[in-house]
Amino acid sequence: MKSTPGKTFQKFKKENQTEDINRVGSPQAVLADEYLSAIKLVDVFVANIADKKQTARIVKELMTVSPLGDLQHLKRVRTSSDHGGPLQVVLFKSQSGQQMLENVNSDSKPQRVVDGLGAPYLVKVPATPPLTRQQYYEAIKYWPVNFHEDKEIAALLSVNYFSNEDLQYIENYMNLAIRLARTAETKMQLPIGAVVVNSSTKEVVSEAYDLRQAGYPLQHAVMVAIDLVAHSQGGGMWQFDGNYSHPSLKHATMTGANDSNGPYLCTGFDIFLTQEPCVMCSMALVHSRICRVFYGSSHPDGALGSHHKIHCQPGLNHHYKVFRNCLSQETEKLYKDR
Amino acid sequence: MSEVDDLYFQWMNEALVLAEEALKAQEVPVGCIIVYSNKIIATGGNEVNETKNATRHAEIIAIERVREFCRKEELSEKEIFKFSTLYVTVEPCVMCAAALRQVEIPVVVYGCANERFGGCGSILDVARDEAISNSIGPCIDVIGGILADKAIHLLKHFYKGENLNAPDHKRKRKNNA
Repeated sequence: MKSTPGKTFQKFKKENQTEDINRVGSPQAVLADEYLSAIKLVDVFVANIADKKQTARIVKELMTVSPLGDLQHLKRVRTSSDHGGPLQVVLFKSQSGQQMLENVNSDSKPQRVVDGLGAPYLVKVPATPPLTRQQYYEAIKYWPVNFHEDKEIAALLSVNYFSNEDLQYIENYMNLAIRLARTAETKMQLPIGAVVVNSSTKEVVSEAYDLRQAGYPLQHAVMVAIDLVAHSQGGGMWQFDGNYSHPSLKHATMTGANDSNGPYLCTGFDIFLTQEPCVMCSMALVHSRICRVFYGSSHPDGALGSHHKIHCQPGLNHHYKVFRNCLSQETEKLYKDR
Repeated sequence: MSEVDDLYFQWMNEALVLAEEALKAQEVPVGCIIVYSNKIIATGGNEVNETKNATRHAEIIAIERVREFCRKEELSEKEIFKFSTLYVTVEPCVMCAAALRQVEIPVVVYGCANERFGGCGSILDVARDEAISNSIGPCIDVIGGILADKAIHLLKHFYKGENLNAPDHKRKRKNNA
């Protein structure tokens, strides 16, 4: 039952020092709040173990009479903060902060059933398992916990997630999205550009910009880009071909669109956007099964990090990765008057 | 039952007829109508498979038919939407709820809840989220649960089948269920 969190902590700390996710203009993963929030605490009753040699027996007996339930992430026993002090063992979760002492000391309670325990007292411990190293460091200030690092999340939190080649890929298509936004501006449209790219072949599938000010309020850049993808597969709804006012709107022509294993909606595609999409567009990307979204500037009502996080919304049947801040030093210039 | 309630059921029955037609055509059985001045000015059904565009939901199709109607009749779109009511057999999804706000439809009446995508409370309440009024438009008055059982019945019928347009490896087989 002895834990050595200190050792693990040092190893983690060293790697953690290289993290700096707020570099200007570099892609930053937008993760669900649970990975970013401060840890929540809960009161538990603990007791000192009078004789350390009895620890194994006490823990074994407590496992039967008082299982940890939803606190499985806690190590059952810890050495109290002063070195060589008594061992402390978790008894049970306090039902409310103001639990009456007589209730605590009732005959059925573990410290009555299990021999060798001192008087129970309240301690604050982490209520849920830590999901990131940062939460882990925070958690062990209160009580030693088990930590099973999610490698994918850890990688997403690191600045080294993207190779130089990836970063070049992102920069290239963000630059194209910015050029499209500039074109939109010359057409009296909102300066929002969108580029859909096949992430495995790196081929552009569609190039779009915002058209909502051209008469139809639903023609946001993302909606236009998605329909152009449909055109590339022999479908589509809105007529852009032969639209001489907007020759910059483009789509590829995909072969095999009618094969059972041909392209299906936006599966396997990335989209590059100058600005964070709204809730309609973010959900349109869920329906379209997009793979990844890269955007430059955030928007206060945006649905991929600001007002909502549609890409990690519980209950939805498709989730995609989102990276904000991409080339934001450039995209911010598009929205400086906002 | 009040007169207004009666009207909800009457129009929802019209929307259900469309949903039944969609089911016969092997499309997702969702029916949608837009009513203006006590007349159906637009109808819509899901057109995702034929357009290969996953955003072609019944509500979006109906919105675009209203635009066509207005062009033909030389009416102001904005004025027509502002006094229209949309009836749809299934709760609008998150995307459609936001779309309906942007064209400024004030009232939406739906049949059954949409537990997978619903934007009027099931997944998110986009229809009544005041915080985004500046960018997405005014909130919508939502009335749900009108003839819900009939709408659910049609959906159950459909999902017993399979979507033939999904690629082989993504398709759910009937016998896997």
